[in-house]
Amino acid sequence: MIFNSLEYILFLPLVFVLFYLFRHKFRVFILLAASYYFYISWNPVFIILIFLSTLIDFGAGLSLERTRSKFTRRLILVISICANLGFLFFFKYFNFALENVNEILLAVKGSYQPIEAWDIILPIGISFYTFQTMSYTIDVYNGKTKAEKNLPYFALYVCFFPQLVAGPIERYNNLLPQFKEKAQLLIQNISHGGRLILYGLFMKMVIADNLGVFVDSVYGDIAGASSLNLLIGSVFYSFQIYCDFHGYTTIAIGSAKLFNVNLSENFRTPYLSASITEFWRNWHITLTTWFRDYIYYPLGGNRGSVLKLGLAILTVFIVSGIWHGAKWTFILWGLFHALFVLFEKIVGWDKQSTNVFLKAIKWGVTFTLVTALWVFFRSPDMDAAILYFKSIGANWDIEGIDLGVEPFILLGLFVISDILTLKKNFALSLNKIPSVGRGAIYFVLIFLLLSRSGTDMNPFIYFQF
Amino acid sequence: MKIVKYITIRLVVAMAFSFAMDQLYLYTFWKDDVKQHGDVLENLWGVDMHSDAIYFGESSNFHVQEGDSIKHRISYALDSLLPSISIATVDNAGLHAGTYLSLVKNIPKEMNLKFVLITLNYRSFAANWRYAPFENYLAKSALMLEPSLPILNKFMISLKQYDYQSDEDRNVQMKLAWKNEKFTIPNFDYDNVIEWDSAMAWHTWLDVNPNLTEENLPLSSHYIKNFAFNIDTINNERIEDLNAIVSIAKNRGYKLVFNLLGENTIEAEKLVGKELLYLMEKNRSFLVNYFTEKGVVMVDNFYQIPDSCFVDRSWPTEHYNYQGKKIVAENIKKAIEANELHY
Repeated sequence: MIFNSLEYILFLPLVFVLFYLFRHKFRVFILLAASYYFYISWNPVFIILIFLSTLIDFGAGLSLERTRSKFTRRLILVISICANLGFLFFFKYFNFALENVNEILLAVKGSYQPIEAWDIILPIGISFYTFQTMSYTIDVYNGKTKAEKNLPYFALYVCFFPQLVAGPIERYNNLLPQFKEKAQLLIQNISHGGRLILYGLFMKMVIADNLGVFVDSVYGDIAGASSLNLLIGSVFYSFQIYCDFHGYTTIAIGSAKLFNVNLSENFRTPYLSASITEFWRNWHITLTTWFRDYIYYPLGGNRGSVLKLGLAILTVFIVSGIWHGAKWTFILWGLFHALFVLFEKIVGWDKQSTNVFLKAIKWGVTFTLVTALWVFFRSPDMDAAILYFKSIGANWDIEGIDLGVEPFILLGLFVISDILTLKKNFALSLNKIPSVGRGAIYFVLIFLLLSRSGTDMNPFIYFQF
Repeated sequence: MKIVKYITIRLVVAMAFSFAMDQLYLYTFWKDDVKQHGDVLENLWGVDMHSDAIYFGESSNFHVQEGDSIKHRISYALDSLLPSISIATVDNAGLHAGTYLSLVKNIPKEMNLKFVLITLNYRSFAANWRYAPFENYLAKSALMLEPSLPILNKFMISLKQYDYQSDEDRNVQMKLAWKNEKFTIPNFDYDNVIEWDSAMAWHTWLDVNPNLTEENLPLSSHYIKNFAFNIDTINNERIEDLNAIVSIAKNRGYKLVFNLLGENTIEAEKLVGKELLYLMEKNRSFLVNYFTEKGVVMVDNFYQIPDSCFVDRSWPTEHYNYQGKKIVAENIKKAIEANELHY
């Protein structure tokens, strides 16, 4: 079940009605059943992994709290992390590792019969819920949170359906207390949640899916695409991935709001950033803060020598690249981001500037760099990425561009709405507008959603991670 | 209570919005969307409202042989053979019972039709047509033609509320059908396409059948994949769709004519053998009897087209030269006159 499906449009109101029909103490079970059903609708077998992950970290949390011995506590933490990362490694990275072992052995031995790749299906959302449960155990170990003693609540923390398959990656301290609080049926929540769901669907179905058609055609024939098509394709992809992922998380936040749950913001107009460092403060915020808290700070963070700082930044971004997928293109994408962030830290480029002209230049450079690096992210392999860069500038023939103005108008509309919601999210921004104006905005959004949504099969990009 | 009032007001406003949006959509994007997702509807729009009959066909109607001096459609030939009535044409490549059903639903109610003619293509009942990748497009077109608010049809397409499946999935289903959809041929070793085709592929037949050569072996395989099946009245979606067409026609008072196209039975027998012909005949006679019993006028061209009239020689199709098309048109004319549908 995906958010932009008829199933979800029917599922969400049904869960909503059931949730408020029952008394508070039963609601956790309603949400838990709904969440498991939501996940089972993808692939029933992988629910076992979620059960295992839940039990391991629930057990680890309790054991950590009951144990005083430093060694035992560390052992419990290592077992929990190894189990979580073990699942992740097997399902996501095993074949990638095998492929590279084959390459190395072939290079060393000369002739070598490669080991065949295994037929492994990636369980949807595994990277997200694994990181979420790991953060809980690490927080209990560090004494930042107390262990949860109620298994149903903890299970819901692991699998709450709005954010189960693609985040936001929530911390225990933010999410779980909200489940325990008695939810009131409030008009504000319905209105707030409904607005966010509408805006999220608009971003995903109208903007991302339509831009994706052109992007797919360009990446489908890189060698045959003109320079202009390649340039437009790369800019379109920047907005496709943004609207796709931001759209997804906005629907997730809106859906959770209906149950009186506030999920964390994941995006803050990242393309208005004036440095790569700032971009990462505003892009996929819950993942970035995860890396900051559990990798960057433990490695020393901003303190210490340049070498230490460089090592911390490189580690974070390479892990971030690997987190996104088992491909060298992702690793290179992460590496380049690391190098730019390091460069900015050394020369002070990431410092806020009051000069509008300088700010504009910085914004232009940042957007160009981010867009260029997305080429690695989108390309199926390194060869395709290299070909993409080589082909830009090779053919300035303007024939063969049959794009029409519609994608540009839709994109323009989105950029305006994104800038207008710079300080407050879409739902809150609407509060300031008189009801007639709000009605007009709803009319336009719903009309575009019904009539201009993309028609090709486009699952959410981040589902593959 | 406050919440109920809040939700009710919004639902009413949403419904009013929907109708306004639908009107706006009809004036703005609808025609372009129909062109993109359901272009066959454009043909139906172009139909003269005073026509006495509609001929629904697929590529057999308009395909021409290179060098044919007369390039008329079967439906045009029929129109000239029956000068007392005017016959409109709605055709497109790959159409089958499922898309005809959507089209029949969309026939303007104010049309006063003497009869509706539906082309029946034997191959369209086979697994490799039922699970062809092109089905995505046809299923999408069918949804675009559903008689509900056009803007909602478009949104349902965006939500993939049609039989969308990846090419790989359709391929898997096709292969499963070839394996699991059994048929029985007396004194014959094989009861499914996969086994029969594999035996052919392993050159078992080359020594037995003097007409087979290395060159025409692939064509014999196509004949098996396209013609070897047993029409299952319960699970074959084509039968279900044709039954739905029959019931719509009954409700609206249309006389129905099913035009069963001719197949190259001579070449089928020559390349594969009498066993294939046995199955083809079994299915032909089933279709004719089944729909005749339901009151449909059946035009049976199955054995009527000579081998020389078939245009494609590397793939079994129902593309005829003009001579072949004329035979079909004349057979339809005879059936219409015999049943007095033109009065």
